[in-house]
Amino acid sequence: MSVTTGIAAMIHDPVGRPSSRAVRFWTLDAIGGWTFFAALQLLWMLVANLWTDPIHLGGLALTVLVAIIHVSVMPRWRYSIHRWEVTDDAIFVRSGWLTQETRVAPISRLQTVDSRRGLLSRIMGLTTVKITTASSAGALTIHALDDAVAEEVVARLAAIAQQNAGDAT
Amino acid sequence: MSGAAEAALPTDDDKPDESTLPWIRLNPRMLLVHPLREIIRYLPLILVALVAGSVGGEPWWVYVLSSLGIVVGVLRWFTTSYRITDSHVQIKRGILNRQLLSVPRDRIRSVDVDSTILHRIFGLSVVKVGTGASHGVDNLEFNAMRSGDVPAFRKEMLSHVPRNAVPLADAPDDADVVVRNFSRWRRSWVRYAPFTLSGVSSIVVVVFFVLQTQFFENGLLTRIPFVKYELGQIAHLPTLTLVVWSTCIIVVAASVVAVVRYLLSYSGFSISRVDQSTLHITHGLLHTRQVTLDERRLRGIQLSEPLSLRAVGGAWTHAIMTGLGRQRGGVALISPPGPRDEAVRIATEIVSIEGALTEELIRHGRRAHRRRYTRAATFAVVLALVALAAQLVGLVSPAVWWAFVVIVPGSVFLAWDRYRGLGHSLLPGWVVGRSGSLNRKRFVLATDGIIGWTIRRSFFQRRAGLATLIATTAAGKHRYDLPDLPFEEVWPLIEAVNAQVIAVPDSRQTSPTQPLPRR
Repeated sequence: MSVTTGIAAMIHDPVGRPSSRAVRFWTLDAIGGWTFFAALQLLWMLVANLWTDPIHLGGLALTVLVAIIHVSVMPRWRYSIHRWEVTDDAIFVRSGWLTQETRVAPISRLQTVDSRRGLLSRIMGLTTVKITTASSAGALTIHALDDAVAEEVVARLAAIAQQNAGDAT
Repeated sequence: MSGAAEAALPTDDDKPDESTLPWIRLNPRMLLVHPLREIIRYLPLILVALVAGSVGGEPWWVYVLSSLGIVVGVLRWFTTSYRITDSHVQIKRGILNRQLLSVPRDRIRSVDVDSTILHRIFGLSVVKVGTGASHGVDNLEFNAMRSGDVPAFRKEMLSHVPRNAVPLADAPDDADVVVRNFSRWRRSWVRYAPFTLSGVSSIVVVVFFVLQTQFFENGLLTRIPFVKYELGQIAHLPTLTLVVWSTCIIVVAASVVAVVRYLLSYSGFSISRVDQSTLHITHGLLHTRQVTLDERRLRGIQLSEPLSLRAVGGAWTHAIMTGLGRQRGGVALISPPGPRDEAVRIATEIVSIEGALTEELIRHGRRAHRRRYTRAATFAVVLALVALAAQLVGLVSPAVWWAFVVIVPGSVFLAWDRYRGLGHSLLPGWVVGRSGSLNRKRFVLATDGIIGWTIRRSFFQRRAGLATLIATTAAGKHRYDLPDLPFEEVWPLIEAVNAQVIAVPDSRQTSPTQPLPRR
């Protein structure tokens, strides 16, 4: 088994992409987050009774502006960046948008595989797969996969984890 | 590697142990140690509360907090018990969340002993049984047992270790061993203490704490007559005099604090080999520590040389290890702040990596160089904007701009020094990286301890064609960064490291004659 070939092969982009519903998921997720934040601001204005205070109104306007930019830019950008691939030798995951990260772990170092689904992702039929190694800094997360794809990945990786030798602890 | 392999896999050992052995409590003297520890922890708070109480406005929460601490301390003894069966070591603990830790004995990899002054006064030691699992979740801590029982306990714990290198049964009793201390620590090394800036950080913590009390207790401190009077005096002094005087006072105070701290924690530093795989590290008037340092756990060395210490030719080193728990950053101090040559020599005594600590490194090139200055400039500009804003609002006087006489050359110097420190290299078996200026660190990490890579590129790094390469590992602080590497060098470096690991498959784990890696 050679990890070298596996890694050398990865100079091209990994082939796997998130689900086609991922853009919608990230959009809704971001809208949810920003709504919550704006609601907090409104609550503050309500409690302190500062409906006409220019600083508060300015703050609210700023939130709305940043939210609109974030919601319209982030999901598509993310979708164009996110990639993943599981080869015979290694796992590769690329994620992020402004700051991008590529993570590589030799498949022989894989320790646990778990899938997680929040409320929104359950509604949309999406699953996030998290793969950990013995290093707490090295977890690989494949975001927003179709449930079926995720199940397949988890099953395959779990089988590999069973046969693994050392985890360098 | 066979030992570590089992740790990763669920085996038959995971089934609950049916033993009927009784559960044992820890040493009852802990009933005194726990409350005393809590009181000492809250001592500064209680002192402030007493002072504050004399001028009214008593912060009652301090008393509630500290008595709560004492109660919890006592309860901890009553709620913790353990037993050692033929196959498992089990600990029950927790006051509200009961927890049962059960670890198969054949997974035990290390026994570390660690005691504070308080434990030592009562003749106790804290024993930590490590399993090699990295996240520290099933690390068993026995807080505490009688120091005299520790050698026997240690032996029993390690008797299951499938270690080919150390015939534990034949190992002489700890008492008979002639140990050679190979640290050359001298009391005169205390001259390095003021340069470690530990005094400054202590003062910052105290000042922060005092200001916080001031804030939460409605100007409590300014109501104390002495403070009120002094503040009145100070307000009349000219700014320049004030700055000069306060600088002098801070420097002197920080140095004194640093010297005291240094003597307390590093006095009598000694490091010696107890048997082939155990290093005994003792230091401090307050603290002793015994660390099992074997080939399975050692993953490298970290050399710290902050700017101030570097200016006087000093440094200190840590061993990067697995299974020490992340609270301490997963490292064991092997050489306290002192002459750099000594720090390197000790590291070399433990692993033969001298070249890795002294050789020149590969620089990160022109783009990384430019980025150091861009970032320094950004920092200065942000400060300037803050100053401008503060001035427009009327918070500060225009005299604040004089600070930039220091800030601008200072950031240029830092940029220059940061670039000078930036570098990496790949030696047979080791990856070396160095970065930082104010807190420069050089790490030497075993390539076969690396279990993954992260390539991180911010927006600005992508524009500059740079990337931060992070080696992830189960040892030390779990991630070691090579900042601002030219992007085209990233994949070749990863491949080169992997090629090494493949070429020498698990060489360290299978060499029975060499307990510690010497390359």
